[in-house]
Amino acid sequence: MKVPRAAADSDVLSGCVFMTIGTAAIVAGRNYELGSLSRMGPGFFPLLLGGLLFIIGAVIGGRGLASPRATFAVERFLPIFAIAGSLVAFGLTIPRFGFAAAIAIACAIAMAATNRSSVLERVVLPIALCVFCSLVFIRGIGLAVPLFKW
Amino acid sequence: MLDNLLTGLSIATTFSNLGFAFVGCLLGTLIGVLPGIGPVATMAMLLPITYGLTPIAALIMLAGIYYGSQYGGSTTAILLNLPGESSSVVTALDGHAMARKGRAGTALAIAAIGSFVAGCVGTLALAAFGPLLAGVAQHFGAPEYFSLMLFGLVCATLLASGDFLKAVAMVIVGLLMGIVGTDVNSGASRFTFGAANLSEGIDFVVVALAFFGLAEVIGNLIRQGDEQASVSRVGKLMPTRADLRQATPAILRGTVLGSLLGLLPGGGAVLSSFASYMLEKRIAANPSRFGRGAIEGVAGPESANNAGAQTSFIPLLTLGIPSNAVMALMMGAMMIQGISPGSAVMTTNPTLFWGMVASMWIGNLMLLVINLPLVGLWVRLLAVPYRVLFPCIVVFCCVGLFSLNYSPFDMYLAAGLSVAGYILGRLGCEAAPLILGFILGPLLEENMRRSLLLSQGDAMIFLQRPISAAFLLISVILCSLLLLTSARKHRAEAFQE
Repeated sequence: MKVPRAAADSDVLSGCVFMTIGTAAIVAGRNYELGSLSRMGPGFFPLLLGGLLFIIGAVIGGRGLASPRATFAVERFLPIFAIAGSLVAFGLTIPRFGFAAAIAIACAIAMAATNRSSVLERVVLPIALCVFCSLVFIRGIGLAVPLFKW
Repeated sequence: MLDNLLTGLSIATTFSNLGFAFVGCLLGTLIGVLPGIGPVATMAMLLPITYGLTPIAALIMLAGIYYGSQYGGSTTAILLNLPGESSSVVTALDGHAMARKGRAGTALAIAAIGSFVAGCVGTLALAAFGPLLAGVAQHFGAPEYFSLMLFGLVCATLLASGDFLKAVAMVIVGLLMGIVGTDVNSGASRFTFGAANLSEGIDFVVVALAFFGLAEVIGNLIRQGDEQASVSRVGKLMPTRADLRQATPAILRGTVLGSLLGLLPGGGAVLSSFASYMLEKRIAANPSRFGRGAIEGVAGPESANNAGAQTSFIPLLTLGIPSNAVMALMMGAMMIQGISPGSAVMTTNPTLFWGMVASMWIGNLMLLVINLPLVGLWVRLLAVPYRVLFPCIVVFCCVGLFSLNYSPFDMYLAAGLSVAGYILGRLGCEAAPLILGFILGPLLEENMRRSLLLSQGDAMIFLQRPISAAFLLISVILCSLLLLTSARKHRAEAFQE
């Protein structure tokens, strides 16, 4: 599918992103008390920032519509999923199975991001990192995390 | 001052503090040499480990990582034509050209000597100007601080290498992220969306690691550049007398320029090295030599980036304003240790300030030794391919993140933020302004509220106080200059040069 050039322009897209964040800040903060200038409530600063961000976002977006410059594209999605997945997997694994398993799994998932590693590397590196981190962080520095858990 | 420096030396030379300085310098060189991981991510990763150290030991080690990475970055730039650090981008131009002519050793030696000279001068500048500025800052009230922070943020966006408007927008996003959590004045929860994990706010290590460590890894993997570049042979290290004669003025110019630019909010190592390269090229008798192995093109920027790295500590330690992302991290480290950065450091905690100053000088000496005779070791490290390196970076980031609060929630947050960081980066929005906004956000709001409480709601207070008015005026002038003239275009060209 061909995306219209202006819609994929990085200025237009970033303008939209900032306008969305600005709007979200205003909407999420709509119930915070504004207070007065001399006694500012918790809602004042967020409203100010949200409004400013919306305006700047609109200017950036408008500029992009007027003269598109750089097209935004992500060439490959695998690294994004692999790195984010690696972090999530670490968070999910560590309370249930302990530190060693979390390290090995996080490493293995992160390595899915590239197709350049050999099978041997994919087996050896998680184990090596697992041993290294256990020695350094648990033995050496003394993180209070169980090494193994079942 | 001499007394103070001696006290500082006695603190910095205790066995354990020497050890921490050495570890910091060694780690700094290591990550400086390795492309794809910078000082911000490394310092953020190690931050949880510093909880257990004394404040001085923690700061000595973290500072060592920063200026150590300035030394290490030049090694990769010269031998591999890849910037090991963003501040050594320009070093690669002439440094690698020298390496192709078989003069890599000379380039490395000049870079290290220049860095050392600059480091010493920068440290002296810190010792001389620090107390002065801190004295001035003691008279600052809430309105002055508010305007100063605003000025700092304006400078940081002006000097960011990308688009000005996007940098401003990123600052505001950072300020908004800084709001998340419980409001100190009213106790109201803001932007927590009912999540108990957010009630204490977003930990800034999570933000720093996601934006500077993990987003970078994602970017590198997607780009998937040449995996193995060829490493040049080092050759003879000792520069000849002619080399030294050519390089010395450049080193001195770079040192002065870097020391000055390091002071600016938004300045620091990166800006200094670019500015110095442009200066050297402009004043050279024969500018066509540049890019083909001009020794001044290595000596100037390498001195400037180290001088800038040292003097960028001045605004943090005296005014409590971090001037770049690394300083934002140092500020976080200080706050974790229960020290509020600013003019009070000098009066309530003089040993900390002087101990740090002295340790920086010792650290620079250590780096000379770590870098020159041991260069062969670092060269061998460059042979480690990125496909092996990046899983290690990710795993170390995981450990660093988890050890913050032992909370899986931080991992999920970091996963989301790193994807956001990558996409924003691709949209031309840099992370450095965001992190400055994030760290200054709560302070900015606090000082704004306090000022207006003081003036009973009259916003004119910011203009009635002369110092505050001056900061605001300069900020407005800078902004309008940029918006009205074609400065933006010029700046883009300057950075491409």
